[in-house]
Amino acid sequence: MTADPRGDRTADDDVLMRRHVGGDPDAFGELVRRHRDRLWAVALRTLGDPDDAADALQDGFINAYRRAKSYRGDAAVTTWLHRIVVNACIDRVRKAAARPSDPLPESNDRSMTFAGTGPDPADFVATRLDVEAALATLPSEQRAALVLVDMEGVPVAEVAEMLGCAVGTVKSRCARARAKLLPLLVPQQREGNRAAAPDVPSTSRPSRSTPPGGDPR
Amino acid sequence: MTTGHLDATRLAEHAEGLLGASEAAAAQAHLQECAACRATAARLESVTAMLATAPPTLPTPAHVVAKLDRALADENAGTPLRAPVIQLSWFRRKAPQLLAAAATVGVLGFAGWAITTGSDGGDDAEEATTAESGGGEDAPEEAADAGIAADSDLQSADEEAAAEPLQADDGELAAPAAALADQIRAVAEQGPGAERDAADDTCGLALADELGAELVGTAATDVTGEAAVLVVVRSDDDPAVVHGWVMPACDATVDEALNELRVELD
Repeated sequence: MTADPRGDRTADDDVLMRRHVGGDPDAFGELVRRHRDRLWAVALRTLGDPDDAADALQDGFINAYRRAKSYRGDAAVTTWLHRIVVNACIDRVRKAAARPSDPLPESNDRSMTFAGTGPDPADFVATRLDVEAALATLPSEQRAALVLVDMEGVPVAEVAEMLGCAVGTVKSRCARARAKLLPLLVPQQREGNRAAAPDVPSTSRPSRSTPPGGDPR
Repeated sequence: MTTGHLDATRLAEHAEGLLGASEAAAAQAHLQECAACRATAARLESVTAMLATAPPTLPTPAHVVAKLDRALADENAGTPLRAPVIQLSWFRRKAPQLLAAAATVGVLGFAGWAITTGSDGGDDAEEATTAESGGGEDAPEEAADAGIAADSDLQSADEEAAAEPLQADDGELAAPAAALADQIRAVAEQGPGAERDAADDTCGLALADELGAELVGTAATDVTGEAAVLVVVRSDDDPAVVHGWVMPACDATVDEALNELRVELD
């Protein structure tokens, strides 16, 4: 078992899609098996709550199941599925945003129980394992924007369209979200270590995103 | 020392180009002379890098996998036993005679179900669309082919339904029908009167009387997706065959039946 959802399988995704549309009752299940871990990651990170993520993942897959006939092969099956599940997640984010009686602190509380970590930032250790827990502390709209832009590589303009807001709003949400994640994911070095640590600015890590347009250099 | 510093949000906004021209210039000027703020800016870049390099997959929890499997099984089964109009319009008039011919009635009931659901939900939608959009003279004929019999079409509906069971019986039962069959067997095995309290004693009798059949037993069922009563009856013709009727209530009659399935006991 590899983590790669496109591991060595006998039939490729397009074949499975055709078999599904043709009435093979097992074909879609195989597609789900192949892609669910990838899409689970997207849903959990975007929504920050495992129950919501499970519902969105189910909604997305069922939607894809029913809409399989409309799949034209313009994009890879995995891209098509990704988009449908992301849309299912966005639906939930927008519904939650439209519901004023669902305050953010509550979703934070729930996320904490799933993360198994207390709200004290000191409890977070800056490892990858904590990315999901850290994301779960964000307000839902900031989280969705940040996950789509920084983790899923969706262009900002597309994210703005998905979320129904301006490009600047997406950028602003991402910026505030990164600032909130800062102490959780990249805690400041302790005073004792600081002297020994290499000069931080010169170690700027290889980043997928080049410094954005605001960089005046 | 702190007055001139830029907080993380400000730095992140600066990096996104969200600050106005003068603010951005001021921030840039400060960054050039402040190592602490440069360090914070670098850490912000690390946040993005950490997010970008996070593993693309996470193991789906077992309960979520199970949830997906259930949802898919339901999808595969279509909307089972849910749209019985097609068969009911036909067998409600025929039920007494058909039950006398016990070898076929249950199969016919199932055939009606099979017609309504099929093995592929998508195809059904297409057929329905075809029938609707075909318009003109085609649509009524197709409707009759599918077993939707107007009163005058009973005969052709008979033939269609009779032809269908072979196909239905050859394949495995779809999940909901199989689940219903299991429930019917369970009721039949439980035997008459078992665990029926006095208040329930009349449950299913109305149907059995109407059909002229022996009441085997009843049970609650949600196999159709909503709470219903499963009434199991046996005709005289073959003691090894029972019929499970999915009814909206204990005292419901044939006209109200939601569905019906014939089951051979081992």
